[in-house]
Amino acid sequence: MTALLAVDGVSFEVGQARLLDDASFEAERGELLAVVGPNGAGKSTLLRIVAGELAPTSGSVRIEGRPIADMRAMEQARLRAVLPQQTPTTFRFTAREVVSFARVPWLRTPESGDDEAAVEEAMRLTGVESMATRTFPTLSGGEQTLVSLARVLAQRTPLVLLDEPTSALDLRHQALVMDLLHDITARGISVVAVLHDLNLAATHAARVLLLHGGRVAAFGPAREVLEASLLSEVFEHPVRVIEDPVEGNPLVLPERRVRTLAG
Amino acid sequence: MIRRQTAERARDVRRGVPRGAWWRLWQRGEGSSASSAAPAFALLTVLLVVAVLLNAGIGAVRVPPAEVATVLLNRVGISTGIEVDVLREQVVWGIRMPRIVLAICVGAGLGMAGASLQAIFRNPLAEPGLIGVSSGGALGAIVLIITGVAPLGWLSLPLAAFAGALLLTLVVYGLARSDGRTQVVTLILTGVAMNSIAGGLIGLAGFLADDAELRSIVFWTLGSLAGATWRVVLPVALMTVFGLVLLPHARAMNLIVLGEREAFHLGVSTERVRVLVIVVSTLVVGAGVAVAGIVVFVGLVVPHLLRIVIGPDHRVLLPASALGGAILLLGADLVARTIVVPAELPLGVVTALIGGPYFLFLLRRTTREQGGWM
Repeated sequence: MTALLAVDGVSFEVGQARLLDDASFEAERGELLAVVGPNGAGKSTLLRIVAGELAPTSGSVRIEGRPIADMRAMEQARLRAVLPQQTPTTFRFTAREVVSFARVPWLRTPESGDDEAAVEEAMRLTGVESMATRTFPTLSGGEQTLVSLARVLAQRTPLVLLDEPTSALDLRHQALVMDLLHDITARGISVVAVLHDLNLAATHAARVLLLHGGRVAAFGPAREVLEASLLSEVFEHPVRVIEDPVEGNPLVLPERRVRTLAG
Repeated sequence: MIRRQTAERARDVRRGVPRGAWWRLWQRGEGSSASSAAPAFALLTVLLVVAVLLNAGIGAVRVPPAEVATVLLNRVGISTGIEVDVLREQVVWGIRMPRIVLAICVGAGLGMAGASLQAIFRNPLAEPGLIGVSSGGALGAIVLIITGVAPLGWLSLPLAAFAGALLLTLVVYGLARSDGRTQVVTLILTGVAMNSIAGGLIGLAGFLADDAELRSIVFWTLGSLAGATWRVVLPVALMTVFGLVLLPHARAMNLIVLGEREAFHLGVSTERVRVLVIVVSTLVVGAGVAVAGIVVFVGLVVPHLLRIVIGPDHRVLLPASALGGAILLLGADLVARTIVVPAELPLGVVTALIGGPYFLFLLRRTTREQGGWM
């Protein structure tokens, strides 16, 4: 069976700059794949290409075996949902209205019968039912992220792309979102998430894609990719990798370059 | 109903509940907003009917509402049994009704175009004038007035205004477009720049004009419905009806408002909807400008007012803005032609002097209580 998402030899150039260079990876059904790397490594560019927002200079992106370049926006929207970094609307839609927008791609299809159920379920899973009648601009940054996440889930697509879903969230909500991602991958949905926090990637992702200067520096299980010498080189900063005494997964700790007098 | 709503809002504010939540619940239930916005539409329709009766009845010759209704019903072949004398019928049907229909068309076009443009630009300051359609129309008319040519008789002036409206919008859109896409900020700034150039040219024309020409220039730049006759009103009415093609795109506008990227990921091409809205708005508003000149404020304010009452769902907002624009313009025109009898105030003076302060009041109240505007 073909991978749900197959990215093959994708490069992206703007003028002289080569932001992505021959990047390839695939995501299986029900997999949580984390994209990590330093600032400017091409994480967001790669995500935007997979999301169909940018056309690659060369290479291809396939979902369920079909190149997205050959699909209309509406077809893509039935296969792939995307959570951008922030949704900046100032219009006073209620949280529930925002979530229900996810059902637009399913208008006039048999799936539209599930509209109500999909919206209800997504709001329940993300815990935003209590905000249903509040207007979007009155929600805090973290609440907006959760509502947007509910919208992405309500779209009920086999592939979900998330651009730093946890960056606006406190510890409890980070854990809530990551647990939620486990739940949805358990249903066979594939999640590709750009994560800034290496330890979140280490704890939760089945596989990690490490980008460096537009190239894939490593791709594989978290334990293999998150390795001290490689990370130290990619992030240009010495790091230590230790094992979480409870879970057993790797933990990445940056070294302090300058010791204080007390230390 | 208004009082109840205000009381509920006050209570909501005290409890820290976002204002409007209860009003929406009461008004919409939990179901789709399109079907349960009925009370708002009922109110708008009643207001429109009242406005039509008042505008048709008030003036140098007073005609009571029952007689106005009789004249209108007789036209569609319904008899009420009330006798209306010929003079009054002439005043109502021959003089006031064309003006009323023009007010409805121009107002509805401005309201709907304003709501649509605010959506596709995702910007609360967007309005039809921004893309150059108003100043272009005025400029087209003024060029004709100053040069004094009229190759097509009475049609020359409205056609010149219409052509000017289309041309300037085309220039704005063409300049703002690059690589097959329009950046919103570029488009808005291009519009601002072209409007100021057009304003400069209109000022230059005013400087060169004699007294009679100057009066015509004021007519075009401040707007007036005084030129309404059935033969000029009908094309405008047809164009306004054509503007209803925007309605099926209301759902797409909701998504665009959420964000351009979000809209794309929900299957909507922002650029396609954007081009459609700009073209249709230009045609609809351009037709109005061609007959009535520049009418400020309606396209900007009406969608904002209605968003406060019925929320931002464009499936409801677009038709409501059409009704609201028509009502506002009927009201403004009534004031314009009755307040300094026997003279007439320019329409733009009335819309700006009434609309401006009210808009400021709403702006302050909404930002204070809601933390957001749209």
